[in-house]
Amino acid sequence: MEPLIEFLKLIFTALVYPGLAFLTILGLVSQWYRRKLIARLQNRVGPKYVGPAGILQPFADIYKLLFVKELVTGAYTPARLILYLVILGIVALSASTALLPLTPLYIRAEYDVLVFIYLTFYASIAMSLIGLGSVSPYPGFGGVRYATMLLVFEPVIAISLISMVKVLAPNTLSLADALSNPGILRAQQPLQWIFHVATIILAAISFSIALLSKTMLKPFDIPEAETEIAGGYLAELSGPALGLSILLHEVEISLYVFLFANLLIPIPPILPAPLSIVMSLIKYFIVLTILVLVAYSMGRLKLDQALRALIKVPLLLSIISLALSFTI
Amino acid sequence: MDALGIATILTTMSIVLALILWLPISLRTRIRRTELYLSGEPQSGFTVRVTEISWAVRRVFERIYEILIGHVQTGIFNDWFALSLPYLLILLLLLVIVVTVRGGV
Amino acid sequence: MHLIAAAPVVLVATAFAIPLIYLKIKSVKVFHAVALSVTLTVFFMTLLGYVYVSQVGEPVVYRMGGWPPPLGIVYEADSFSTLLATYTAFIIVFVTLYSSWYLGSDTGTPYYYSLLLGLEAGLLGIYYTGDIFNLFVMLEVLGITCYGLVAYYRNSKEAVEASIKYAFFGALAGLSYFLAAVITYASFGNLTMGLVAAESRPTFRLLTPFVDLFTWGNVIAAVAVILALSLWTFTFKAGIFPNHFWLPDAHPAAPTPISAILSGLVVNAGAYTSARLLYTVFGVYDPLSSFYSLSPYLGTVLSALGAFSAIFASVMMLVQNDVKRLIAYSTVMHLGLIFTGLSLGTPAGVKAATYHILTHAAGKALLFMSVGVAIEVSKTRRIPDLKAVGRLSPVVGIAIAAACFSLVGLPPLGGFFSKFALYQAYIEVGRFELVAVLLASSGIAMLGYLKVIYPTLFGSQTSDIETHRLGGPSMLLPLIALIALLVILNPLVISLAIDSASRSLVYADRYIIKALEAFVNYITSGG
Repeated sequence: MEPLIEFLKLIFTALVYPGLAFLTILGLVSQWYRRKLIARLQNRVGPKYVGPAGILQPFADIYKLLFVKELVTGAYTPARLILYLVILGIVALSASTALLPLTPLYIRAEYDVLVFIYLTFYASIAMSLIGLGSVSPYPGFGGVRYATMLLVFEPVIAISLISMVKVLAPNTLSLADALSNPGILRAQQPLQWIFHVATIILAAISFSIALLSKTMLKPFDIPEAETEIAGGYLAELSGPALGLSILLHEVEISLYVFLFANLLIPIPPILPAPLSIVMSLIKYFIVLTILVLVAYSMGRLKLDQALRALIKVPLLLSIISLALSFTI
Repeated sequence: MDALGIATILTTMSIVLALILWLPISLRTRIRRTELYLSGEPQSGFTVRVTEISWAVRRVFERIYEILIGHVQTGIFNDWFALSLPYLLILLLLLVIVVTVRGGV
Repeated sequence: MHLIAAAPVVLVATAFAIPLIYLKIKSVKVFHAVALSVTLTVFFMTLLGYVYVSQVGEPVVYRMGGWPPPLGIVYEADSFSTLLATYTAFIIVFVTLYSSWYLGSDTGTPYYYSLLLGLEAGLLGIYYTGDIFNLFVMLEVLGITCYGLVAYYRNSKEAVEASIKYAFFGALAGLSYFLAAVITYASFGNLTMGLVAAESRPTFRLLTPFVDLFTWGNVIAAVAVILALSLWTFTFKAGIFPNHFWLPDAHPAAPTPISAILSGLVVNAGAYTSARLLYTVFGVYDPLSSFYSLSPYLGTVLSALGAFSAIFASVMMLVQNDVKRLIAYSTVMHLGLIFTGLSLGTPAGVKAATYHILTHAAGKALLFMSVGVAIEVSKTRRIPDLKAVGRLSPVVGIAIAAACFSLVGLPPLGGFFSKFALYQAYIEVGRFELVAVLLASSGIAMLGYLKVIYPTLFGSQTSDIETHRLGGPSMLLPLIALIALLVILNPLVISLAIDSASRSLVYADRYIIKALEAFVNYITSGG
């Protein structure tokens, strides 16, 4: 009986809180926030009509797309397969939230940061296969561009994540430990503390640059590139496939930024208590604001420029931070 | 539970849950196929070629690939020896030096 | 334990019998059936051997012709070698089944099977043997059959060229190992692995002083030379960086089932022999051995070579146009990872390497066989021209995807767990650069696998596919079995087997004691 209850709890975690439902709401609210912020930067108003200050606009968009009965797509696109991949990506991201200490039901184990890295990799594969799998020129360009960047940003994100977790939870390398009981607070000697902070800063720089390219924010928005390749990887999709792809994108941004914000500012640690969750959401919005402001003050890079940029700065820095995190 | 069990359970669960969520959506939607979207140009049967997946990588790592293909992986027999035999010699020398420096039996 | 010695003998006997039978019986179907039944029998024999060894809980010594160790040849099978042998025999059963689909009624079939069975005999011999010179013989058996099989399409210029290159280099490598065996004989006075291992460890020299009688000269210098020469050979067999050249040439030229075997199983022989020599025989990583001082240097060399192979091969994967060549580079990369695991010298490292050998073999054999269907249907190996078989035959599509995802390391497939074990082993000893190498090479390789997945699963060219080749149990069954194997390779299922295998490799005491026992028993019982 007990395993069944445990399993049902896990399903609840994955589908409701902090999984699918929570991530969806967080993702769509942050989409609204992002759009408002960008609109301010560009002297526009942004979403306005649906809900107070237009906050329900992203929800309305997704709702409309999800319940369209007809999926119009390209001549060769295996639409149902792509639909499955997108849903798999969303569910994998939702399931990986079970590793975060947001509810008393969270799971922790030694080395579970690797589980997180490989579980969320499903989302990246889904993203690149949406484009490549559409079998059409524009989405193909988008998919190629995403897959090319994936070459660098996946290792960078993984390396900097491991080095941050290595600093915060040196013995267990558990994501939950790093978030709920960060070891940086226990550092005794000033030298050790300096090493810790240096690692976190280097890893944070490389992580945030790689994050911009993983989530296709401004200087790295080459896979969608509205003005150039007509929405890129999304060009052949419509209806539920399009809605879910947008949702996948938003969920990915919010999950990674949430994780990043709480690893970067480990004080106060997140615990399964309401106040600490509010605090971590505040951290989330602060980091999101900074990321969006930095991102949207830049123009789009070309693919080879982006690849060079990704290799030159973040890859190098992340390896240095990994080395630092192992020397303590 | 250890991390390996967690990985197994979480991923199996995601794959199955995704299937459960996919079924109703997939059953409900009809699929209508149109011409490829080419900014209004007529479709003349061209698609993205898969060789282009790595064009940016080739361009960025041009010099590395020049070295690798031009000098390392040439496919010429003599070049293999030129790489392989020094490796054997280095291995031999290294170990013999280690032994002489550390002293034998 | 006659079964252990019988398996290679059965194989060699059938291998020689098949061309003779072909003089009388011309029907190709007979040979498909013969080969399948022989490989199946051998699989059950190796399985029984494995069960026996794990029940006994210690290595089993078989004396060829009843001669005791230093005089005669012995087979010494511990749980590491029987695990690999059983696994090899298991995969070869399915490759043989797949061969009957692939070859159809090709007239060269009898010779093909003759060589294939010889190859399996060589592999099993390498795993079972407890004799350094017999290992050389078995390496040559393996090598010669491989050269023949690579050149199976003897009308194609490419195949002959690849085979000649492979054979030339292979002969040189064999010679190098032969020299190592000669030096071993000169300095240790015998060629039995267990006794050489006893001579390498001062504790055993105290317990059984007679082994000291064999030793001669400066043993440490001799071992340094032996290790250099033999590691050169073994890295050639395994396809580690400076000696990997034969791999990308031989794979495209060979028939697809042979590519699967070369990539999944033959390279493992190199990893196995290196591990056996480093851990059991000379105990380079054993603090009680006299050669322990060599370990930091060898460890550095091997892990550097392994790491460089991984990065180099994953980078080369990206620019290939030939799908088999691309997969061949992926083999170089994975063997590099296996060698980094072996070079750590910790039980965790050995366990991870063993695990990775198993998952890589399954994933690579599956990838070659499923991509082989696409090649067969499209009649080309150029990646852009591959047809989208995945859209017509879901089993092939799932097989390609599962193999690629397992090789990248996505859970819940086997590849994830072996990579996880590698990460754990690296982090345990604080080797951050290897963590970075593993992550970076996986990321780069993902793009390479996407190059394979994209045309075969999503491509648009489905109209002109010859669907009659896309069915039949002899093609589908191996694919389904290996997909299932990738799921079964979960630590919940095989953790114990891998544990006992790696333990018997790292802690060589039982292995040595059994070999000494075989010798002492013979002396005391008066023959």
